[in-house]
Amino acid sequence: MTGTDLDRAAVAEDVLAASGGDQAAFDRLIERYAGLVWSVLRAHRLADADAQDVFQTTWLRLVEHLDRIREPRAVGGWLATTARHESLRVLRRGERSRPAAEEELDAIEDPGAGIEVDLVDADEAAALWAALEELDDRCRSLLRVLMADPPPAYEQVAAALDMPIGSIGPTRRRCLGRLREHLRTRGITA
Amino acid sequence: MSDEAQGGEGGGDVTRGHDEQLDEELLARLRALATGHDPVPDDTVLAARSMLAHLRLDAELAELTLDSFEATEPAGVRSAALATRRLSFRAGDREVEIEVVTERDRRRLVGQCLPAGAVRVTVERPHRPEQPGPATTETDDLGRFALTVPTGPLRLRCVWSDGGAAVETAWVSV
Repeated sequence: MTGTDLDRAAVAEDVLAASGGDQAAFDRLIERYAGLVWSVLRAHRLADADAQDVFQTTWLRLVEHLDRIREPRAVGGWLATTARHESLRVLRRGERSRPAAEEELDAIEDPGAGIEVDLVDADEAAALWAALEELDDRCRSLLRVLMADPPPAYEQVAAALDMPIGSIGPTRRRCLGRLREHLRTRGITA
Repeated sequence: MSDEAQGGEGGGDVTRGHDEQLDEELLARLRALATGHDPVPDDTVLAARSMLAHLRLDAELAELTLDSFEATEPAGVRSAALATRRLSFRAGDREVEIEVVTERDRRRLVGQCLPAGAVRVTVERPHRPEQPGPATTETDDLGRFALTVPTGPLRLRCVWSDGGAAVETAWVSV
């Protein structure tokens, strides 16, 4: 068994245990997939209030389906698909608050808002966000999902964006290349 | 933490090498950026944990079978905001039909439980300290009801007075 197989077996066990009301098992599922679900909402440009609503709805949908998910091992993909569907519902409702990107940029300009991470200082962070915003939607949304922590499996990325799994690698390469160009014009090497 | 990231890598062909390494480094910077500047809010994670309290114990799940907003044109079409949203749920021969009417920051739910009969309808919302508990109403003899609710996720629990299994609709955000 590879590590991934072990991981998936553990996930399937947690789904089963959670369906019986095991809070610790459910918490582990949230810890593992919260970052993925959040990235899907942001990839769809949901702003804070909508994102929190959809995040909540996605986990509620998991709770209501715990005992009927066909492939408990693949619950990450199931969550990504659900988050995408719920995001699209909000977008179709057509009453979004202001775009998420704007809020994210505000957060960066406010020194108190973000936890500083050694790897990324404030100037570089602002430049990276701005460069991401210059990408086309396909690239921006793909990279936002790939930015999830822990890094999502490609099948989860495919589910999050409804794109063929085989196109993720090449698209990722192309999009990172474009991002690099945008960064270069800002004087940042990457 | 997770080794799932390997899931879709293309394998060790000639295109891998220096570029791939650079891509991984850039992606690591982007990931640090997201973790630092757009993390899942702590209270949002805490709220999600409490969702397990909503496990269905004694009711059948009525799945969402129609969401009229799902059937509209692609994202970006804004006229949907003005339209009435229709939702249908089904569990076997039991159905719940709802029209959602926008009233500023609240929603009016006008609906019917089928088969027609006297039904107790309870609106359940995720636990939040600042929100009141579930709201309950009795339908008329034809199963019709009207309720006004705050926006956000909810589900309806329907108990027919003639007995039989209670039904809980799938969660929807209105």
